[in-house]
Amino acid sequence: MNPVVHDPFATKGAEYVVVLVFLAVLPLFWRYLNGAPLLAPSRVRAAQRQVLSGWFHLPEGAFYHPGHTWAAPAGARRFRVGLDDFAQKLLGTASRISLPEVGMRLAKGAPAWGVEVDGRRIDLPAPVAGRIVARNEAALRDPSVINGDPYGAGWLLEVEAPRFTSGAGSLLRGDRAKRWLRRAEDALRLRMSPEVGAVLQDGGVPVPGIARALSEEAWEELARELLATR
Amino acid sequence: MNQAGFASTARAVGARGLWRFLVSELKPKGPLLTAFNLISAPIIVAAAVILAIRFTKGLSSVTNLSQDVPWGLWIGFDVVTGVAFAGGAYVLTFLVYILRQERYHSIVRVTVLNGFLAYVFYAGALLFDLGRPWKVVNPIIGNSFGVSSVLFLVAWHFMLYMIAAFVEFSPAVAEWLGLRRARRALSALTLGAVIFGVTLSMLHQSGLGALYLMAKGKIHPLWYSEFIPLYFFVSSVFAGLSLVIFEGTISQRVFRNRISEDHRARHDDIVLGLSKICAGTMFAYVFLKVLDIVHGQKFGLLTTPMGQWYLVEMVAFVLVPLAVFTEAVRWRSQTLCKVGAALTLVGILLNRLNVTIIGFQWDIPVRYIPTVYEVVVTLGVVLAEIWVFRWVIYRMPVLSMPPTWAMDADAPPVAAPRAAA
Amino acid sequence: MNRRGFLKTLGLAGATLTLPRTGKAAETETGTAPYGVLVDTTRCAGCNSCTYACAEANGLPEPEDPEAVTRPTTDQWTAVRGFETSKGEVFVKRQCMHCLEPACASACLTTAMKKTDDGPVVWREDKCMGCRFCMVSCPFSGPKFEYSSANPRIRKCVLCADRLREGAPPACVENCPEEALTFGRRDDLLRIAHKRIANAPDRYVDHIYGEREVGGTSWLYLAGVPFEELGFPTDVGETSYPSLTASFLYSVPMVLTLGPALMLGMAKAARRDENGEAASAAAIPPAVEDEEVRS
Repeated sequence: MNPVVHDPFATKGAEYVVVLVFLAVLPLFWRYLNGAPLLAPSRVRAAQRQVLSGWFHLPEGAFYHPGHTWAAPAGARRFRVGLDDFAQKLLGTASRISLPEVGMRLAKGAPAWGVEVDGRRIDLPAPVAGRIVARNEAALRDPSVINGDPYGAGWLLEVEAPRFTSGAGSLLRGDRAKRWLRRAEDALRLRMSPEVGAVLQDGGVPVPGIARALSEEAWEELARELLATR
Repeated sequence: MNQAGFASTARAVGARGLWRFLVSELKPKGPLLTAFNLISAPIIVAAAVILAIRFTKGLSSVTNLSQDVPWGLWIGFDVVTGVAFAGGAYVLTFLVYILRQERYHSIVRVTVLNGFLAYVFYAGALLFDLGRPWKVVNPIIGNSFGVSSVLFLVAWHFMLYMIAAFVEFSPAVAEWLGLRRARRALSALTLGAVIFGVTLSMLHQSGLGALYLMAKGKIHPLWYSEFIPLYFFVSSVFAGLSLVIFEGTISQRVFRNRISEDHRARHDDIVLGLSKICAGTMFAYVFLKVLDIVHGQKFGLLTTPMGQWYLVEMVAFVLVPLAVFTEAVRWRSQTLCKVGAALTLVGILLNRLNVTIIGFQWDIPVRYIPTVYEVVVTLGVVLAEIWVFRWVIYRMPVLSMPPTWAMDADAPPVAAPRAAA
Repeated sequence: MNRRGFLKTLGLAGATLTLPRTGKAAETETGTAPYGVLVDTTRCAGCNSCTYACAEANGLPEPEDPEAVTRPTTDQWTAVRGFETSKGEVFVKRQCMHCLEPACASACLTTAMKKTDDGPVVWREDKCMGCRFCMVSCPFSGPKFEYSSANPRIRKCVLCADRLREGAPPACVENCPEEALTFGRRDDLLRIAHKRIANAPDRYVDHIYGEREVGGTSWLYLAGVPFEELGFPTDVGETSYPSLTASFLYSVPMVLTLGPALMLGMAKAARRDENGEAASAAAIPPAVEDEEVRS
């Protein structure tokens, strides 16, 4: 063998450059990979088929809190939250909604906002924990947008939830959400007086304000019970 | 109900009852004339016939192996690729029992079963390739310890890992047989078996790569590296998890009525979680491969035909699935997860075959191309494994919930799942 | 693994130099190195006498047309091949190189392949399981396998190990009419080879193939043309092949020690967080974790 001058570390410098590139790209990749899912509510609605679970709409791509509020990704670590079709239909058109101020913190599962119907206030739970970064002023001015489009224009708050992933397990989505909503529907059916039930089961979709249709006197209790977050 | 029914019988009748139960359980449970059975049965029979010829007339009667290419499809696919695909078992047991990622708990059993069977069948297929299989006990019984051999290490690790994987799976067997006390004892061994199994897996996954360290000069330099063991180990993580994703989507369909509600409900989130792990591992793997190109100063080789083949493997079957997995996680898309897993599996298959067959002795005049017999035997091994897998799934609580007595026996913190049903 | 390699891997190479040599090797006349054969390709006429002698000595079938066989086979352990070179046709006898640190022996998981103290690398039928890892590992593709047999053997030159024990040289060396083959202790052969190169620098290239290749081989070659032209693999390097796996094999006990210890610790650390984990893994419907009012 011809003695060749061999430098075992000839490529060491280049290797360190590769490692530096790796270290520089890794956090970007990591943030990208772990960033909030890209499905913003508007795109959810455009891209996903509207799922009608029995009487109620349940778009895929959103996460549902058992207290009938939803959260849907809206950019990096941001979520839009609102109340779901079930709550909207149960309560009917709100006369007023009260939203917490921008900058405040939401605790998951704790009452986050109130919906006033006929001067009586129902509080609904926050589906995610985080800091409020925006409020839907349009919905504040005219709460009926919630009834018109509960998952789109009817959003209520935008929340920055940096640690969303760890809490996602307790929110519902996909088939789990469907089953959960079906159970909620069953619970609603049990509450129905036969004559109202007959009307509804004729194929008619419940009118806004089911709770009132069921029990004019005690609708508030009924609404609380069905929206309760046990 | 099967388990519960047997449990009472077992106590009443004892050993004879156990025997009768086992005999009755050997009978098939599903319909016999399914499309899968009609296709797979003749292949398995054909494989058996081919193997009979192979053992009477020598390897050359059915294989294209030569003095230049002593290891072909039966090693390159069955053993090297099959074991990489079985890597999901050690990754998942690590996630669940070491890191306590409980959300993956519902798929641990099926994955460990899959891994265990893969080792039994694929490492078992090694026997078909051995010229003198009746001597296979030599490195085990102690009269001929070739401790300097990587294959010695791999052989021992295969054997020990099979034991560890069986111990990990054994509570399911105990539940099937209704053996409560045995189940308690076996469950207590799980953490030990997992720790042992994960360590062994790290070593023999990389060991399969180390087998080829001395084939320097025979493997195309783009695939030969002093870091082959590391590449084999790292890629076994995403290979194994991709198979878990892939196998899970099939199981979800085929064994629909065996799958517990709890399992099905969590499957989407599990797939997303596994996809994220795949994406992270592949990201690091890409840089590891770049480092090898830099370290070995192999840039010039990339423009050769073999170099383009290398780029096909790296771009189409590593970078693309990496991007697909990443986007799948971002969009929470099950479909993309499955696409990523499928691409990754193809990529791993390509990589292992590139090291063991395609890039092995790439410059000799007569290249090795497996015979149709080798392919049939390989298919037969895979199909036979699926038969046994199905047999177990239909009998033991793998995808379905364990019997209630077993769940009651488990520690309180995980008492919740039954609420789902 | 031979004794030298074994001690070296233990890191005792330095110590052995100071120890007095004992045993059979020390009693021989000219040195302690293993036996080897020096092939002078400039002398070989390609007569194949070695091939016939090899077959007879090792009980192989008599070669029918040895000139047609250019590489050793299961039935013909040595093969002479002619190469058209810049200095005309050159004949090269090839067989197992009997490496000082053979890849095949270190690859063998049953120690069927074994480097004997005398130099030959031999194969032992009662141990071999036929895995052919030796063939995968050998840089010279020396071992050949009987693919067409139901009871296959690994076949290759064994440097006439039985004859060596009786004090006779290998059959091929004894029967070479051109004295192209020289048998002896390897260090003696190297001295002879260097002397030949020094005496006739025009006749030889200044390179003894096997002196340093793959850590040294027992068969050594002299040639008048560069060894690439004679079909020798020149990219095999000078480190022994077993050392390619040494760092992997030595890391195994480390991993087996460190792995379980680390994982026990990790399992313990993860269990401490179990309360938090269990909450997020709770089943449907999930419990509301936080009853605090927003602040």
